[in-house]
Amino acid sequence: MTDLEKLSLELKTQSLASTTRRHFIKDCALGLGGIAMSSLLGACTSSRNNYDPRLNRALNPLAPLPPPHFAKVKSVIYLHMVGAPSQLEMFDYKPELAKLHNQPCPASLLDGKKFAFIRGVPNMLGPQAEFERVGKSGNWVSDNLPHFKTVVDEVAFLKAVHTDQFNHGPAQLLMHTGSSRFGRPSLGSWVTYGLGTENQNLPGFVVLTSGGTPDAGKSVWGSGFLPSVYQGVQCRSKGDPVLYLKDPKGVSRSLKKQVLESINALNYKDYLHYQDPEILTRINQYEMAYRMQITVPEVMNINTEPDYIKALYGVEPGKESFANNCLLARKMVEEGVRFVQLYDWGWDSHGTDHGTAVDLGLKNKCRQIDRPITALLLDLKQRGLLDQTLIVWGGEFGRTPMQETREGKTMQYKGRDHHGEAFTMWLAGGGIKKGASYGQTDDIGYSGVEGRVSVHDIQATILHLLGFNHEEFTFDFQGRPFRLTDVEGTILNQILA
Amino acid sequence: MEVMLDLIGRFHPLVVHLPIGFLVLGTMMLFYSRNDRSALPLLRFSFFWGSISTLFALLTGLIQYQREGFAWESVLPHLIAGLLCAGVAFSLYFVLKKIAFPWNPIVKTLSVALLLLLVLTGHLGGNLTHGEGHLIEPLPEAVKERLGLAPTFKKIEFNPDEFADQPLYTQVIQPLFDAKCVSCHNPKKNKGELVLTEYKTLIAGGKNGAVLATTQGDKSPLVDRILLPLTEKKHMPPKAKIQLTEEEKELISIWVKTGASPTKVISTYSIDERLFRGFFPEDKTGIYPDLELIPLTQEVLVPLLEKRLLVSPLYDGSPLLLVSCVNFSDFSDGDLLEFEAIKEHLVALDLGKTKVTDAAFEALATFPNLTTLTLDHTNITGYGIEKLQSLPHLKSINLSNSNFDIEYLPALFEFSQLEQVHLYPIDQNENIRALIPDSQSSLFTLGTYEIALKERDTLVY
Repeated sequence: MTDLEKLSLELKTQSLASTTRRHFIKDCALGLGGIAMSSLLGACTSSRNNYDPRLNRALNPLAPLPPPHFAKVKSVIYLHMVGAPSQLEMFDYKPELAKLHNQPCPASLLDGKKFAFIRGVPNMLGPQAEFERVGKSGNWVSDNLPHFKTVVDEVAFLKAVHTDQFNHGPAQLLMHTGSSRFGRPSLGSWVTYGLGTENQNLPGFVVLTSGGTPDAGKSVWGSGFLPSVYQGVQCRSKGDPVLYLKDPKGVSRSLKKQVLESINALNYKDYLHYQDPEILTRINQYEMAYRMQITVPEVMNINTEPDYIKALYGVEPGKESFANNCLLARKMVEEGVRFVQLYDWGWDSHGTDHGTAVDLGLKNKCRQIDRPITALLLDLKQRGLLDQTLIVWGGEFGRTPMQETREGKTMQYKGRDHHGEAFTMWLAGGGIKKGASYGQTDDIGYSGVEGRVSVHDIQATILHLLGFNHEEFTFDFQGRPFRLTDVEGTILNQILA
Repeated sequence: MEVMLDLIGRFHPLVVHLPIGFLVLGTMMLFYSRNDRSALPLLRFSFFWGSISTLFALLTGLIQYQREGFAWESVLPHLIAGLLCAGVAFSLYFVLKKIAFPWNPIVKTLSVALLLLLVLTGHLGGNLTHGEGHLIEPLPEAVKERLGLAPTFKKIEFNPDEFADQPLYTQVIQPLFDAKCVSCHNPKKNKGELVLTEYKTLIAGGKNGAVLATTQGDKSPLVDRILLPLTEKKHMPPKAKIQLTEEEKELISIWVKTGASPTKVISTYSIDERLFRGFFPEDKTGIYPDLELIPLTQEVLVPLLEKRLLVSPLYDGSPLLLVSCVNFSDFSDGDLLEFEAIKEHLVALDLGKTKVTDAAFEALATFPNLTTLTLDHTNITGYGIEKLQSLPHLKSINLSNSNFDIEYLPALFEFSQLEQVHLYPIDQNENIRALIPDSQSSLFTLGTYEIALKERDTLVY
């Protein structure tokens, strides 16, 4: 007997062994009851879910669904600066802090507080950038972002965001999954679960990274307890866009098609036998992967863009860069991708070396995002996509107004420690009040004194703009309904148009 | 002594259960041994103690009424019912003492009356301590509506065009108190001796004095306590109750800080309209017309879906339809005929990257409610675009990356409702900006934005 025959025999006996007389009686009773029930309830089902098979949620988990309420935007581009950018060198201007530069930090700010690295009494560190009020809105932007200044009137700032996590991993999880521990679905997964994907040849939730994977790992775009089809699909701007999507050497596309057709035919036979909709789901997934093989490399190819666009973003074809990812994000949204998540690594400005100094490395990081983000906003605008897209910018927390003293020692470079009390984020696009600024920090930027905003508030607002009531949008798991915002979250009407 | 009286008064809710227990048990025994004369001594025993305990209930009740600040008018029905209860209980006892056989017509009548009175008294008492709507409140809204009961939570809603010439107090502040405060601060249940049901009592304040800041600077205990964090014990409304929203808190503090006027009109306050937005009727359709159409059935949509067209309601249950060809790039002019059945419902049509041409305008002009039209990456030149001028709702046309010819630009000036036209990347050498009248310039997004090279672009630190 060959190995294959052995395997198939084992499978057969296993499936027979699991079918008992009790099974038969139970199946009959439940089956008949179910049939009766479905015809009784047939009239109750809403307009969702019962289109043709390809758009039926039971068979195609990525079938598009209408939002529960009127949606201001249909897609989201979330720009996450991994490591936590310094709000004090970018948006939160604190002249008082400059006056206190190099003076020891008052004890009142340190008592009972935990810092990731600061030990002992650190000195205050004044802003390491020049600020000016720009645009009609007169919002503050530092000289680290000269191009962004020209589009500042498009965005709404949140100046007093706070988080209760002061380490990267948990804080990133909180920001993207609503919980600082592992196991919850990410924002993009929730959205894809709720709305599906418009373009049936592309994933609904795409992740693009530059510089590295976030500290919390791929869980920040994981699907948690939602079905795994809703997790983010990481696309790479260098090499194969999606790993293992390319046909193996020696396998032509027509051969691949034949293989798939045979597998699908076998699966369909199995479906006729067992009537298990999971089998149809699998057939659908194979077909989608086959279609993606053509479409994804097409969308991921930035070389076909005109030179003018390439120059606008400052892309570097063939490399992995934030600029490339911004351009890709626009292309994705244009093709109907629901949620595009960008992660840019390298914002953890502790001041341990040249690259993480707030007056050196941070300026380089700012240069790397300044033009691409400005270009993204303008490009979406000229294509009429800005009104239907939400752009979110932020990190997982902010940075201290004190200079970092790692293990109590004075450091050679200027750096700042992790700080969750107050930091800046901004939103732009559909439904956002242009040029708004909500919240205020104290004179040294240590904590929010007005308009404090929690991570859950931001998540509630994002869901609101996509047409969800964050309190009603739940998934039943382990005996209770779960929400992205848990039991928190208030919609931030102050920045909504 | 004072303390004892208070304590005794507070035992009323406990003591009332003695007569209830005795009398209900007595009535049950009466029914059970109605043909058994030997049960008479036991029956007399239970009705004797039942009647005596009604006196205790009445006494403690009177003390509680006097010591706990209940209004006479609100207590009266409960008191009358209680007195009747006591009366009927005693009568029943005396009748039972006289007769030799338990089951007689007088006993029957009295026992039924007693049971009814007990239920009534108990209910009236419960309403006093737990509030008028105590039993009705937990019912589902639909049941309440069916029963014709007023909703316990009144939603504040007003017309965005007409609210501004009303006094802030009557239009917003008092309705807010009514909705979220008076369930505990009313004449019957006045926690902290504060009554928020009318302007007079609101100004009078509670047991610690005035709660508003009409006289003493801007220090107002009422505002202070609604602004406290939810975790603080003194925060109002209490954590478990329906909370005021941020906007509502802001409105109340503005009203108090400006002198808590009962008559000052909203328009004289210069309050950001955003704060009132929660009271406006919900904007359910955004830029799309709010049409009262019957949603189309699935049978109408299936042929379209089978052609890989994306047809989706504006939101779940909306009759308005958004149609996109994102999965159907071979869509051409002829396919527009497919939309005949949905032409009334169609408000957004995305024909981007399809094979449509200028011939499509003929068919597009027959979709009366079309609001946004996307024609990017098509071969549209604009010939015949004036046919769309008849569409009363058309607000946005996206022609970016199409073959739009500048020759047809003037036709776009004649649209009445148009708010946005995207023409990127139209050839701007023709000095297109000069062609567009100033009054229309905000309509057109020409794009082709450039980002000038700045020093920082090349400066590596």
